[in-house]
Amino acid sequence: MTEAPNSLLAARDVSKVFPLERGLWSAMSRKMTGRPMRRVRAVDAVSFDVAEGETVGVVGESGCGKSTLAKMLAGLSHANGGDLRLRGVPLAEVMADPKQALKVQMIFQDPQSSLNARMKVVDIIGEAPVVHGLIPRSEKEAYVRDLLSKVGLGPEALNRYPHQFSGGQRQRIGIARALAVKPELLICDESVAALDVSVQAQIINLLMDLRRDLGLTMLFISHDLSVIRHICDRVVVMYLGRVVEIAPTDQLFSSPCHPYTRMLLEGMPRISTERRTFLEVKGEIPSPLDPPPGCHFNPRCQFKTDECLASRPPLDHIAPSRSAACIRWREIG
Amino acid sequence: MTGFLREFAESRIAAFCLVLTLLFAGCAVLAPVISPMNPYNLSAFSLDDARLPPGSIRMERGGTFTATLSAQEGVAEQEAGEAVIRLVEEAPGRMSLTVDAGGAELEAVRIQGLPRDASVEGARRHPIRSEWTVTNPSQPIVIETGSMTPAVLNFTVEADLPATATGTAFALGTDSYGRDMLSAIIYGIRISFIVGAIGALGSMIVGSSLGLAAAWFGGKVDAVIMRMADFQLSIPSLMVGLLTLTILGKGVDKILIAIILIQWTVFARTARSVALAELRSDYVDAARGLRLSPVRINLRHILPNCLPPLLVILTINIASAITLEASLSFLGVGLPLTQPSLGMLIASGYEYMFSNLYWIAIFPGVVLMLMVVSINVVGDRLRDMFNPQLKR
Repeated sequence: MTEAPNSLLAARDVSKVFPLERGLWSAMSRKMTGRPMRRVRAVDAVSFDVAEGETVGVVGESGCGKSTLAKMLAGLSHANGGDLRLRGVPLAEVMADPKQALKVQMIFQDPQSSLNARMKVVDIIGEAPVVHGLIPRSEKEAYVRDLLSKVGLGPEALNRYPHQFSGGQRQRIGIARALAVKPELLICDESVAALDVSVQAQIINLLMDLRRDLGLTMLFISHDLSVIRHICDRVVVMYLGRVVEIAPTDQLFSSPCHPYTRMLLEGMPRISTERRTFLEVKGEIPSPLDPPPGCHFNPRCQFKTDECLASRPPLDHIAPSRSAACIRWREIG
Repeated sequence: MTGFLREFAESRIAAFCLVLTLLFAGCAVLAPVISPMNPYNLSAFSLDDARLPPGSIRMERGGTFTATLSAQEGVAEQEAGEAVIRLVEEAPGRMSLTVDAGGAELEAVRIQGLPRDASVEGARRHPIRSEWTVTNPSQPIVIETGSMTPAVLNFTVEADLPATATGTAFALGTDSYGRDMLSAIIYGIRISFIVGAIGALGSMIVGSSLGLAAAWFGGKVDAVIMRMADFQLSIPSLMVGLLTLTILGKGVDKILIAIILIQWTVFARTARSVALAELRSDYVDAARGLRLSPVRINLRHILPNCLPPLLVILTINIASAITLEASLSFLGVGLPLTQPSLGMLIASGYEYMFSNLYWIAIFPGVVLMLMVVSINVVGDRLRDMFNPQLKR
């Protein structure tokens, strides 16, 4: 894959491995028995691009490495391998410069725990811009008031504490906090999953408005396909730490190429078809401690062949801006 | 705040103990104002007042007139301050001495330097020195100079005026140096409070910083700090205190060092465990994503969320710091004798326990006990209030 000309974020074979054993004892026992170290490949050689101004969705079941990926992109944890670049600059270099690092901000899943319960809203939102010298201390309150109005909260929120707000309001505060440092890339990690459906819609609309007004690029991580369909331009489907399909949203939903994507879409409730029974997502997601050989999806796949057990299927470029990691995509799609 | 106090006062005993604690704190702050004597002013003590029982009136020692007489031909007159001392020979070898102190009664007259075979009527002779003491003398005092009267008789007369009662009483008696126990106890409360509060606060600052550092950095830093704490906890705290003070010497500052050395472990462990839980919260990730400095994240974001359990430990550790100081002072390594703390007062009264001089040890002991118990009850109550599982 070559880099697109207006690429903001480029990930090439990015991996994150967590060792499961630590300490002297297990090191000694490994040395003596020659047993390899047990580890989890939470993110396994993931590659994708995010263009400037684009909204890319990342979907997958829980445990597929979405949040680990988000943390790496936000610079909160380091990748073990591969190459992450922001506008062609390695992410590690970007993160070393505090001013540049602020260009990537994250919006968290749980609005309860993502706000410091012992700080006032004015400090939660205004602390970072003051510390980084984006605004003088004297303008903090006016700046925060302005941000609050952008996310649809009144100035009376300034001197309140997080517990005095509802979940949706808290998520708005979290969004204002991220916007306060003028980011270019917003990573939304399941940002609406913890909210009521009606509130979810409000927050999604807010995010879409902000994206339009501020020219933000967004990486939207979710397990909820209908949310992804509503907000994203392109979708990255992940399964057990690997990317299985990348496609523009409408194409993905109309003609999925990977059997896993198909399975996900078939499990999605639709009002139009008035379907009462759903095609059950077959089987459990395998343990990431002991992933199946070859294609990770093979134990649950109805199109499985012996070849699928042999090696990891490459992420093939199958159409303009479409890729899938399945050797039989032609027969399925 | 009022809501907090009301909730606190739901336990009557805790409310009572809070009042008691505040009372002791008031004593500590106002000690120089409210104590009747300054127990640090050694020159104000009189050994005459030593070991007086509670309620004794303080006596002021009367003045003393001293004059050296040189009697020629058996007659002499000498002025000594406001008194006039006269010597008249009534018969050969028999002289009469008059001390005229302006009509005041005398308590005692001492005559020194009389010839070897002289004697004084109604007087007690010093077993070794040539000194005669007449108590409550009826004047004139008759001196038998015997047969060997020298031509010039030289001797010294000291006349004591009786002690007068002063307005002040020793409400709780005095110790073996004549120190007012009440004042000593009030100043002892002051020292105990200062040592307890500053010691525990210092331990909290040192311990929480190390605990937060351990939680934040993890890995080797964590292991080193926590193994240090484990090592420290395996030695009895009194032993650590004794060792520290033996090396450093006596004094309030040294006791504070010892207390911090002993107590930092509890704070470090608590701060670490609470901070580890907080570090998993998204708000810490958010702060890191906003590129705030680790110091700022720890002090402004994590620490305030760790504070409730640390404050509970603080109150309980104030009490234990007070006990520790008292124990060390009791063992004689804590504070110097000139600055009595409660433990020291108990130690100095301990030797008189079986001589019926109960007040020297009992009163400071009771005060120490009340102080420690009330602070502990307040700490317990705070812990209950911060524990949501115990909330009704």
